[in-house]
Amino acid sequence: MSHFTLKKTSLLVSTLYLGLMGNAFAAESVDKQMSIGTDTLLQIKVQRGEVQIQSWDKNEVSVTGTLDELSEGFVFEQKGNNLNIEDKMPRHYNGSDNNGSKLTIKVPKTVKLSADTVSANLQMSQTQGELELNTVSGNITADNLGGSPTLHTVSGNIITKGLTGKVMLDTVSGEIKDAESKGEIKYRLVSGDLNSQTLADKVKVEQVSGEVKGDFKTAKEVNVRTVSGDTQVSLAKTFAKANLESVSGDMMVSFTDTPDASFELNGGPGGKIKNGLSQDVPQKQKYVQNESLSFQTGSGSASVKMDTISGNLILKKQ
Amino acid sequence: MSLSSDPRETTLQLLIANAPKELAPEQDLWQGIEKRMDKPLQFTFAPAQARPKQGAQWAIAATVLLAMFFGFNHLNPEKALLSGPEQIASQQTGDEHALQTLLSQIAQTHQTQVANLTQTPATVVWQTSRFSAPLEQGLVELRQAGEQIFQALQANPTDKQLWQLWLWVQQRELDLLQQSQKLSIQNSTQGNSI
Repeated sequence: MSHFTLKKTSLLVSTLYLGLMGNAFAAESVDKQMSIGTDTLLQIKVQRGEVQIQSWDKNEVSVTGTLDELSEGFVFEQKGNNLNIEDKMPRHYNGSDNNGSKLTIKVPKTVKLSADTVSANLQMSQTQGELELNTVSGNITADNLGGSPTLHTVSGNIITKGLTGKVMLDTVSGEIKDAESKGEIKYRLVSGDLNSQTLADKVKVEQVSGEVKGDFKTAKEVNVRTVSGDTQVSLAKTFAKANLESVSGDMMVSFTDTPDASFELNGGPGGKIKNGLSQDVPQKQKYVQNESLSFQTGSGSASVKMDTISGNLILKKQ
Repeated sequence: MSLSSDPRETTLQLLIANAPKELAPEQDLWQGIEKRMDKPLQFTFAPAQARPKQGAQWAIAATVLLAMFFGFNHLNPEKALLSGPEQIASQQTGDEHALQTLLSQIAQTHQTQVANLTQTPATVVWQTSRFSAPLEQGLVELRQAGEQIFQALQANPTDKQLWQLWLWVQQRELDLLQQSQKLSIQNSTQGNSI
């Protein structure tokens, strides 16, 4: 009996050892460097795992970490004006994301970069060059990126801080959380929620069914279009223009202080208007259900337009 | 007796001479629509043969509107005989009729574009992927919204904001369809682990 137990234990130990050995062989290490020209586009393709992109002061690109356990080879080569980094994978595969590539890529601050992943998460910080990041289900975390970054995901979340330039954040069902972005920003979503605390001058939101929560207190121009998702936006006392449109979603605009603005609200055939900003009351047209409201506060220098077909339009003072 | 000596004929000639050469809508919707139509549609994954067809359909829609506006007087000479208020009322009805026609034309064109995009083989692959749910949900929302706006526009075809919203909803639907096809192509090489 004890002999049998001993055999069993040794078998278990051997299996574990082989398993560990297998993993050690599968997770192949990589440590490479190459210089990069100012006009070269760095293209990164990783399917699953984790990719961290950091900037440094050298005119070189370095890649360190481990490859995917199913990797069919690592590509790190200059082709024409492109520098390609790719962890090559089989055409079809199974397995967990934990077995994916784990790479840290260091790049010059002003690098032009394009990164594509399937489920790999992307983390990027402190670059100034043009860049485009794409994932399918991977999350993107980015901070302090200049050079008009464009970030796309399908179901992955986008979490950003301090992006500048002409920024574009785009997702289908992922969530977008943006803070302290500057310049001009466009958010595009389908069913994911947006939570923005941007410092941008121009803000544009295109939403379908997800919610929009926006603190646009430094924005001069705000454009929000949504289909059925609800919107809550807060604006400062001074701004130039705010246009908000929805099909059936409710839209609430709140102000920290009464602005100098002219308001035009159109409740459409099925919408309702609630005015918590002034004593003005919505008017109903004679033969149709449409509610509308026009009024002015202060000098009326700014313009607020809100339109819906069947949603609620709400004006509020915080 | 010459024709010009007839007082009724003289009045008619006078009315024709004083009639406006063209009728403009109260709000200039055309600029917005034209701008939208001029925007490249970026059919990266659309079948190549579909592009000229779509362009032609937009051109037909544009031609219809132009024909309705510029040919209005010539096709309806009796309008010149109408008095002021009647003429204005008639002009408004004509404008709305032209916009209704344009509305139908654009709706039809959009349906054709959607059909072209959904008939590609790649869509089948996309529909089996796990990413289809949010995209399909988005498409359903957009189609319902499009229908709702279409009905509102039929009731009020001169609402520029509604036009813009409708065209935006259509464009978003096309964008999502293109995105879904792009995904299907990516997925076809990834196996079932993603």
